[in-house]
Amino acid sequence: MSQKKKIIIMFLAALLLYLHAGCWSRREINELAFVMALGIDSLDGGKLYKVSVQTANTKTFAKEGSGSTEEKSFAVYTATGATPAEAVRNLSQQLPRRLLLSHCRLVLISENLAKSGVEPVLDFLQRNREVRETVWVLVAKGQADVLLEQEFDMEDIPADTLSRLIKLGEETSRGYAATKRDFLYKLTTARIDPVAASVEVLPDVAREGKPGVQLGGLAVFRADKLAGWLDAKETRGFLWVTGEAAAGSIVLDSPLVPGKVTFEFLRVQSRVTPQVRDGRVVILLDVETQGDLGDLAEPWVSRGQDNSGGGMEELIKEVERGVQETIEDEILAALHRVQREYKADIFGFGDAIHRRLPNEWRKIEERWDEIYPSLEIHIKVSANLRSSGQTCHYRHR
Amino acid sequence: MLEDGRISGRQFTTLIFLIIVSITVLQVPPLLLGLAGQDSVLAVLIAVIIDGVVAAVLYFLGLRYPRKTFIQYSEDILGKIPGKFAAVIFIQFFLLVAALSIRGMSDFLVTIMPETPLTVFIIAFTLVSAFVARGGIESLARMSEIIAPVYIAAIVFLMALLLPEMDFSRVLPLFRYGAKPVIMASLLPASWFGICIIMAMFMAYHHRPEKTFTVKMTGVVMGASVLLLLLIACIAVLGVEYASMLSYPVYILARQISLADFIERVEVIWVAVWLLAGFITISSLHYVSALGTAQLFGLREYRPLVLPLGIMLASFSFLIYPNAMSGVKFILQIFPFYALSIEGGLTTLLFLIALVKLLTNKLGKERRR
Repeated sequence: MSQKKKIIIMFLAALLLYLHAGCWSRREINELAFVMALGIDSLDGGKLYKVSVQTANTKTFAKEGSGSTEEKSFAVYTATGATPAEAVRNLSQQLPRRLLLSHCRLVLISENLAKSGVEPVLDFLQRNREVRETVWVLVAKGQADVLLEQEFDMEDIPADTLSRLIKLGEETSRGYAATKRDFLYKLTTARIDPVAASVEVLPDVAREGKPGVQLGGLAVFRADKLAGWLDAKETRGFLWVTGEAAAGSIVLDSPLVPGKVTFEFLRVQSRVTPQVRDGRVVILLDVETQGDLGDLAEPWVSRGQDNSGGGMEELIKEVERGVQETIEDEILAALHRVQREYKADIFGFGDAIHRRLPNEWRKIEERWDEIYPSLEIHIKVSANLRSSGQTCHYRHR
Repeated sequence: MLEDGRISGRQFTTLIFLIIVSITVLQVPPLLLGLAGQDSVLAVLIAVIIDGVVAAVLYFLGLRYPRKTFIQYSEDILGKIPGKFAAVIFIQFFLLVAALSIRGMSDFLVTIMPETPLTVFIIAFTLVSAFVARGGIESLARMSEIIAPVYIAAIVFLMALLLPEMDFSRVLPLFRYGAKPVIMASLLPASWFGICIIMAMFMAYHHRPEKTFTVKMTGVVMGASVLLLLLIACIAVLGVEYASMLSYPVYILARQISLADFIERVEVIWVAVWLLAGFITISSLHYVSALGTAQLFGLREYRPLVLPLGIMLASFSFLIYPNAMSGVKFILQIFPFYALSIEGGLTTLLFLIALVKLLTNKLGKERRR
């Protein structure tokens, strides 16, 4: 290699150093506002969108352990705009840092906006490249920005409190939180209607001036519009049908034992099978569950009493029958509310027919909205009591 | 000889494989899902069969005119002037597909990095592909041999991580609308698989031309399997309607991975391997256009043509369509028919004329006896 070539290569290599200084569009942590939760309200009867962001105050994280909580660990900013995207842009008028939506955990949509249609909001969420598919889409009972301002117990940032509540709610079969992906899948698929979890503040159960918060019943949508709510019982009915129920308890009155019995279910499976009967499409719904005895009131009353197993079969049968009835009851409550009142197909029965009986579906596709409210659904529940827990005591009356 | 290199059977396979899995898996899934829904899976299988027929035709021609690319043998078949005309059509087709690929990849990268101008990506791709194209077929083939296993490993890894997110009941129903729309929809993947007529250029440099058909179809089947896997994953994770609404469902698919809140945000792995594959595609197309042009004009060296063609490619990438939305329209409504008329039509025409010539020669010989 000639001397000249060497010099040129050295020069080019030195030029490379400039590129190593960093990215063109780098964004340092102290220039960013980490959005933990996004709230969207509608104003002026839907003409304006009001966007509120709950941002983490990174300064308080640095002072960990000091214990002085004079400074709030989060801040809420709001702005309005004619579209969700414009409202988010308008936030920069008051927020000195650049928004980063990648860490956003949940999107809260206010009740009013949900009623008038959430499609513009979800379109914005899908086009935006920062919002992950795993964010939860929630409906706030009341206003979203008010809810985001609330400080709750335990976690420093309310968005964390909410997302833990959601996780626990799902684990104990109290609710079902749709992610952006779930919601958009159901919204774009014409044969399923979306649902979303709701969040409500409980001002009555305040602790140290901080109100309580809870995961409410499901918000039922018809296409992109909020049709109504489900209560706790109906929400669990929905979970039974879709097989989303994870674990939880059912309390029974049993004539065989003096008090009440708790059945702790652990495993739930459900199967939706559409079938043609007498020229009409009906849905067969099979729900299977398995669980243990959680408690049995007064099993100890007389010590050393009969432990030989007499009457055990009756008790097991009794509990299993009671569980079946309760589950059926909950499913019927949900079906009744959703099918007759809201006329929303949140269980995806239409989609099940489309998958399994595509030829039948083509016949009824056009009239589905009329057929659905009177669709016949045959429910079959089977419960299996697996064990009596860490004790084998029970008392036979 | 313009090109003295020889490539092995495995290199042939990996080249064809990477050409299929780069630009095809980016452009085809959303459009195909929109056209055929759950039947997309069948459409891909039909497309493989269509491509097999084209491959058989080119295989026959390649054996009939050994060590010649189809730029060269189209002159032997059609005569001087029409032959050159056919060669020009092939070359501009490669250029167009190269420009489409560069633009498609740049459009995708712009959606991830919106602040970077499109120009930067287009020029970067063109420069790199020019560099590789100057290296000749052997370096290209060796690159592909290295990249293909990495690509396969990454896809297997991502698919395994996506399994918990999948709901396979969404894959049903099949054949909801009957056969006709499926066959129409299969033209879209077929037109993209058809880029593999590039085999007629590579076959001349394959060290065992008689094996070309097998190794080529291995590459196509492997590539189609990756496309099938991704389509099924799109349907099972996102659902047909949602996936067909997205510009780049495979990217969104990779974003869904979340294992135990620990393995997350791995979509960049997919972007990385897919960029590698795309880089092989663009380089291959750039190379064959330069080589083809040199053969067309009977030049002794193709390397001086690489950079000028690169400038054409870069500007062509800009001008090919004004924005990503009209690009979708072009790919959906124009490209399949344009591409298949060359990939299927022109090659079959060559084949038929070559066949007639062969038969008349034989008949003539017999008559003379």
